[in-house]
Amino acid sequence: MIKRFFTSAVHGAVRKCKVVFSNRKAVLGGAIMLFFVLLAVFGPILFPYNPVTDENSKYLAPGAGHWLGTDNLGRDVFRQLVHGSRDVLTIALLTSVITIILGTVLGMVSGLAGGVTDRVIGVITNLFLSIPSFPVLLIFASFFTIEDPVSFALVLSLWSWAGLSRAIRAQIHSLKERDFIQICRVMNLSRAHIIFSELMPNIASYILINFIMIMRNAITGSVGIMMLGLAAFQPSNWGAMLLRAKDSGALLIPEASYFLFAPIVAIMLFQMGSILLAHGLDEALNPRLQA
Amino acid sequence: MDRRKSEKREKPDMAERKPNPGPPGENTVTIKDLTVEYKMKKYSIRAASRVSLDIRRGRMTALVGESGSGKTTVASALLNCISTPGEIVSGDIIFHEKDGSVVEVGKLNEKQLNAFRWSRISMVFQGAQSSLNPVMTILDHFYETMKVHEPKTTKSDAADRTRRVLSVVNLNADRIMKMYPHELSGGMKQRVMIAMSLLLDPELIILDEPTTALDVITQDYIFKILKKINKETGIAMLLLTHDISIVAKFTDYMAVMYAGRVVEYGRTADVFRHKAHPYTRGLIMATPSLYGDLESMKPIGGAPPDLMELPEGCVFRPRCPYADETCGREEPILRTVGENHLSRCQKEVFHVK
Amino acid sequence: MRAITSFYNKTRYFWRRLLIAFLTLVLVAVFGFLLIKLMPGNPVDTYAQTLMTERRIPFEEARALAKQMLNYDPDEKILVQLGKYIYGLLHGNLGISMRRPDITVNRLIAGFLPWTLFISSVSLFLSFIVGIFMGSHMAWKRKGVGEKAALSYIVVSGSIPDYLWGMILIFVFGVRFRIFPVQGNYDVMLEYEGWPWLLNVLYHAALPVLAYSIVQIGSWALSMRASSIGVLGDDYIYAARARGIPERIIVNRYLRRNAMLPLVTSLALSFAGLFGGSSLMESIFNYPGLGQQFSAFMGARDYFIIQGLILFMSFMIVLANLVVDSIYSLIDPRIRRST
Repeated sequence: MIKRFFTSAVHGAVRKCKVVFSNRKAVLGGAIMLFFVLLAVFGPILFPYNPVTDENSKYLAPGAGHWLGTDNLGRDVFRQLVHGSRDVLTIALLTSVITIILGTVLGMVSGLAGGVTDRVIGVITNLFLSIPSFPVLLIFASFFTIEDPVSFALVLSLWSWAGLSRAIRAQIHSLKERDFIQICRVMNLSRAHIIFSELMPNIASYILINFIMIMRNAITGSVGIMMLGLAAFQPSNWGAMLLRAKDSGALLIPEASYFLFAPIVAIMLFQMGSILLAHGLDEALNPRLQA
Repeated sequence: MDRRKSEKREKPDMAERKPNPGPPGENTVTIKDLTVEYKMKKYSIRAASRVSLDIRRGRMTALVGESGSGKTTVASALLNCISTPGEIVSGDIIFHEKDGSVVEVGKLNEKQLNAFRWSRISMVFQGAQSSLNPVMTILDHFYETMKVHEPKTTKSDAADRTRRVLSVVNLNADRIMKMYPHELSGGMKQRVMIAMSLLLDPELIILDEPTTALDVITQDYIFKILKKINKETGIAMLLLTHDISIVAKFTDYMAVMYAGRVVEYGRTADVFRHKAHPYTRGLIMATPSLYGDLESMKPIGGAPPDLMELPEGCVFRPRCPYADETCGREEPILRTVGENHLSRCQKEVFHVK
Repeated sequence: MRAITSFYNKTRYFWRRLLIAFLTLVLVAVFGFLLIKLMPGNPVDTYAQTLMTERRIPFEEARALAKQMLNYDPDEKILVQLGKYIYGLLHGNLGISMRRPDITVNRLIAGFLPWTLFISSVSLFLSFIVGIFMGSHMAWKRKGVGEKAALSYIVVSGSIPDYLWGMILIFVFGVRFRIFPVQGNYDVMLEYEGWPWLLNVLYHAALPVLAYSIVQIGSWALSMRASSIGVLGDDYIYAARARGIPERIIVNRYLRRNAMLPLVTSLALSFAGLFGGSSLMESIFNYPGLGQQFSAFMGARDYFIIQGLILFMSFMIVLANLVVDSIYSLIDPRIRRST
């Protein structure tokens, strides 16, 4: 059963890849994101970061030695950025993976099982949607001193699955009413068949697009927490860089602009890549928006 | 009267219903060589190809064809309301005012067009179920329509007029006017749409498959209302349908469309009697008669035409039981085969003397 | 009796929602309670220490006083603790500061909520309205230059988080050009009344509101565009054109009104986002709202204030959901009469 799901999924994926690759937005967005992934994986090896401070070389303008200048303590901004990208991307990726698993499983169980299970999950979903996420993230991040990306991602995903779960439940509900699922039922096909061969292919593209958008939200959230200075931070994380820039008065010191804007531009580029890829995928895979 | 009598006959061949022609030559709309294309990125589809059609004043004309034959495209062109990416490539649509002056619909600017629409030609839509704005009351729809055509209309004028047209379709206006579309049944919505088409006293009402979504009893009821309106007000009607029995029962003239072309045109009775095109013949034979035996019913063979890949010569050739190699040479033209009777088949056998 | 039954039937939907809202809040309260239990350290002991030095009383006495003032006794059974806490909540006692006895959550709300509410609701409505117009226009004039420009705006605005837009705005308008104030809610020199004060408040709110709206407008426009494209395919749009209704009316009365209906339901979620994210925005602009207080008390590890504020924020979100549901049932006739 699972095997058949994968073979059909592969065939479908090949066909869909062609559609996706013909979409300019998706290709551009994908290229940007790929660049950041490569940067996070190989960047720190190619451009090792030296955290030693040097009062004499602070706020240097960009040049051959320091591509993006130096920060308030004389450290290379570009290398910090590269070093931090690993932290930022790990958190974003892990958050996305955990959120997608939580949201999809809970949403599908809720939508398929119905009855009491559905109600209980519904109440929990409602609870998580009613408690504002950012303040809770702050509490977790600061009171429980989270330092490693994995726990950070866990905390972030704990408060981002609810919306996805609700959306997936709604999709399952509408799919269940469609003819082809009804036919499966009449034919007495197994539940596994219905889930893996009929439902999954139909929500796969939706999940993929959400995966990208959750990464984007995870970056917004994690950088924000770092920026408030309430989390125990990894000093080269882009949010931590922004915090130091802000606290050292980079807004007011003209020479410090590079220090301030480098992480902002990095975040912007990554987010732009994710938005373009998500929109492109949506256009390519969602027939409703075509024509 | 005649019609009722003919229905009661023992074995009424629908074609032998006593014809009820009007004085010929008096058109309310003349369509000349209309060609409409839907232009996509890589290709374009010709949904209507050199369609010519006379729509007679005060008569009910049918436009018959299967879905995709181009009927709706022709109807939309009458209001110059073809949805994108379709556009009129060539041809004229000429509307004859009562005073003898003519309006070329294709040449109106946006303001003139908006004034022309509904006041001269109105329409009852195929999707009447969803042709009303869900967030507006029924009265608002009528009031709005009157207001854009006659800015001085007051709400009470609109209510009076609405009451009158709703009573034509046997609806209780006072109950319905304040309602929202979702509160009405399908048949009621359809009658509201018919009432709305009467609102500005047009010369022509286009009926686009007006009863497809309705049950048979409601269907019949609605057609009786329509026929009554046609008789009493003298408003011409253009009925788009694929239901040949309705055509036989209610219409005076008919045009048969196939693959974006008119293949036969004439008085309904003449067309049914002579069936001057093999496609018409097929359509009529494919319709079960209540009294005829089932064996005489023959479906048309082959698949509906693919507008992207039409055959050389006569477009009906692949499905035509009478086709021979001469049919593939060039596309036959619409030629006169009898009085007020045209056919696009080159074979003399089918022609009336 | 019959009148009561019919009233109940008509408003059943509403009562159900109210019940769910109430249950949600109870669960949030339990959650907040458990959060305190999970916190490292014992808040009562911490508070007792403060009281001991402040009032020069022995630790035992201070501890007893602390238990009473905090309405929290870690020595009791957990359910009793929870019961006491809920009892306190029902009597309007949302919590008290562990560090300074004169600060209560209630007082914080009274003093700082208006500012947060002001900024977030103005941003919400401003961006909703602009986004609605932008999105419907994009759908109506598809493939035009306008749509390309709008889409580019949406991508760029969405790729920078709102708080970073805040920093950029401060940098551009506050530091480089000095057009707008970048700190606080109004000039302290001004009297607390009259038009000049109000204008000054608006002047100070301009940048934070703009920072929120830049991002929000884009996301509303995008949803509205998708919704409008769906509506454009509906028969009633075609029918209206055939009736000779001018384009302007079709866009306003047909397209926009129908396409915005599904968007109204996401207003509450969006409000939750703005309200929850206010910590960041307010600390960047040093704006004296609830969010800024939240992060300040967070830095001071003042558990009970945090607990009370979280509960209150959830209350606001639940309330927003109820309000949005009611608005929706008012503007969509299909809901208004059928339920």
